[in-house]
Amino acid sequence: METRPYFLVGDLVANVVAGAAIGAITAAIFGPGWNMWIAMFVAMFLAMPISMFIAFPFGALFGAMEVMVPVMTTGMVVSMWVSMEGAMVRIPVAEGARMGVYGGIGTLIACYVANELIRRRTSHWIS
Amino acid sequence: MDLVTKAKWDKAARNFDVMAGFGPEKRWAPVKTKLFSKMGTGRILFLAVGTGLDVPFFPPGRNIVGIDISDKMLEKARVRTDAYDGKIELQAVDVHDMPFPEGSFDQVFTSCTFCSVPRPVEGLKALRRVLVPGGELHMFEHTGSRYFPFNSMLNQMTWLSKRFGPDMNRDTVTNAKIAGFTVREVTHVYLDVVKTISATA
Repeated sequence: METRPYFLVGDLVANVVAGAAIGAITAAIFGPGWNMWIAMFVAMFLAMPISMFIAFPFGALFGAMEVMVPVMTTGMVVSMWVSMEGAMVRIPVAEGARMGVYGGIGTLIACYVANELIRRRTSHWIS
Repeated sequence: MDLVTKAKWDKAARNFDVMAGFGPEKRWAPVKTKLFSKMGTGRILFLAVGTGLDVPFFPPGRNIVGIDISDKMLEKARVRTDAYDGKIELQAVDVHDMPFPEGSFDQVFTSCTFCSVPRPVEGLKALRRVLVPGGELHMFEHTGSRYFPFNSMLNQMTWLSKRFGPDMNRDTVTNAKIAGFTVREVTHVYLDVVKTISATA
């Protein structure tokens, strides 16, 4: 597991910012007029390239794939969550951003856990 | 030489160090230092030396030929290779069209290279050709993932990322096996996406 404070803080900031941005954008676009499933697919389709571009400046500071993969996953998760809920009840942009922050933190924790599990299972093999 | 790939990386050379020179290198420094400590005293080929960001991690006193398809990248690399305490000879060469005779090198090293080589299996076969029999291939690479949702996400993003840089979903371990290498060791650095691979020709 990453233990260097510089990278831990960087990972957290990148995912919080990406989550907030994607949450706010998603809340601004999708409302109760949308079919929930169509909203989810359109939101995810838009969120992934947007989150990829959000990841670039953070990647330059904190690492490449270690930043890009969690940030893109945050974009996917937050856009799915906010768009589906937004298709049922109107979500204000600020509330979408708040949901995005929570989604970003949760996704980052999930990625850290996945990293530990995957590396423990297959971190080192010799043929 | 693949001029399309050359043009892509010549263009990328302008801002390459801004994107890759600080965060990624700082994060990967311990892993790269360990991998490159395997550099022996024989002839070494370093494929896709780029702007030379990996050079500070090389152990001193080695005899290295560094190649890259982009001469713009190599122009930037010279500052770092000139400061290296050993011998590094730079050449603008496409891996698919290397001028070296068979068995020219004892070891080959790559660093984030086979995400970008257009025909990865052919590229790896070319490396095998220039290695002595039993010669070593050591790679630091990012690849696709076997695990959901990372595999799906990396697959989808590749159509975008490949337009300005690397593919994000390569299966470099399998490609090395197809190219005829015996894969000896794989160590996952981040998820199963960032990894080191050691193989023999």
